[in-house]
Amino acid sequence: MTKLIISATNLSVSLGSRLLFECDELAIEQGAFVGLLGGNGVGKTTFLRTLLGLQKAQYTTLNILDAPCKRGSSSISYLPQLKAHSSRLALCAQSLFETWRPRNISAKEWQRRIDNAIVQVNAQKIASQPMDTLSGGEYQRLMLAQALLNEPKLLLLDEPLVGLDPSRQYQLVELILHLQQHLGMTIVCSTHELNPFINHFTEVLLIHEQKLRQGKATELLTSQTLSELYHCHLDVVMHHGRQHLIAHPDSDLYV
Amino acid sequence: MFEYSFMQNAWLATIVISLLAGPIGYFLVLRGQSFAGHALAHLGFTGASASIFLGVTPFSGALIATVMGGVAIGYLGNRLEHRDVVIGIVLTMALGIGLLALHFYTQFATQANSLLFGNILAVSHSMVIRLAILSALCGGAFLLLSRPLLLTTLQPDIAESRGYSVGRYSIVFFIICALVTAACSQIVGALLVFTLMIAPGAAALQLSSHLKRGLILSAILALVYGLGGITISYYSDWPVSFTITSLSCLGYALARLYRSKKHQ
Repeated sequence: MTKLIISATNLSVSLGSRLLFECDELAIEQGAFVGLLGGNGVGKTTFLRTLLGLQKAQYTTLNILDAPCKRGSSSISYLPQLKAHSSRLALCAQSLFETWRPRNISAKEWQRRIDNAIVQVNAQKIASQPMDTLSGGEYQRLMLAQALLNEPKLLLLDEPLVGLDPSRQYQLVELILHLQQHLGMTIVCSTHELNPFINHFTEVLLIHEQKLRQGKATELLTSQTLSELYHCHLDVVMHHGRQHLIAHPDSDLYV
Repeated sequence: MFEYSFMQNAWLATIVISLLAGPIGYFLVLRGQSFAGHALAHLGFTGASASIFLGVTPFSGALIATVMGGVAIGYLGNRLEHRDVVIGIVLTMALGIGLLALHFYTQFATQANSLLFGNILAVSHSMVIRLAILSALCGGAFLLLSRPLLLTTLQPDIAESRGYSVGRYSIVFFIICALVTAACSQIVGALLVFTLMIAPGAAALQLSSHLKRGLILSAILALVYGLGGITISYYSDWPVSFTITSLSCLGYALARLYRSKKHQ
């Protein structure tokens, strides 16, 4: 049997008195590329924070990498959603990466990992430039490099494609896939941009009407499920051997 | 000019404070909270003027008020909505209380002038020693905590995911910041703390995108502004705070120019 990276039973997460989502059972296997989908404000970021141990949650069990969920696990990396302020930083990435390293890793080893990660995301040319002079795509590549520094087994991505043009979106997805295969990580990725990912997710988590639902990508990335999820008529169509999502906003089918 | 003991004290006090004010200001600029430093200085003025009512020395009054303000700002941090408005209201209120002290104690007028605009030439030897101890304590804490402070400052989301309490570090940082602000007011006064704390850090950030270089540059610039200002003032007889603010303004303008040439 394949190893479970995330497993939970009777998980329920609330913000104050408002229930965000609950689920009876959750089991993410090693090596999965999981899409975390749902409308605005349903709790996608909160779900990622729950996995990081930062969000109070009720559960019978919640295990991450064979251990009860706790904050500060060094085997998990988190790429937060891009915020306007963070990308205005006048420091270079190299400096940013050096600011912090885990206690049990030597400065030399950390520097080796920094150099390595910068090569892996192909950012040698931009690593010593001030980050506020970079484009959104360059910035996200560097943030991805930073997420690799602690050699994570689980990578959590929160809307990694926000603000990127279509070509950069596809490039970043290619890079994420390449890193996953190369480094053997399990990835959970929240997104509203489905087209760049739709052919690559192996597993899907849907948050809809306060239920967190898990399924294979082939079962859940269908016209019907996605239309229900977003309350809008959406079609998953095949074109040149790849799946694509097309929206029909004028249709009153699901409104 | 070193034949005068007041000049010796002025130099020593400036060296002791600048070396710390520069790097702390650099952090404030990185955090995007430079105005919080400005507000703290105003609270220091309130504390110093209220010291007349409380019967403590103005410096102690300033320290108490800035530290209380520092804890509040650190605690509220980014959670505070309309932060700029709140800071603006708090700092004008602070000036208002200072005015009240002035209203009741007319002899406070000369003191108010030096509290607001600084009076480095009046710093006594014992004050230099107090400032040195304060700087050593703050500098030590700053160095000890610099790594987690940097991470929580620059990337709060990632810091949290690695198990750091962003709120706690924010409070510690603002307590250090508050103490340095109170010390800084001794040189340039409450209204002009910005010039010795924020301007060097802001210029350093224009000059280098490397963190260590930036921190060192900000300390050097603060030192150059402070000591340069005192020297120019000594020979020109213009007020010290004016010469320091002029140097820091010029420094920032040149740094901006340098950056725009480099990254055009």
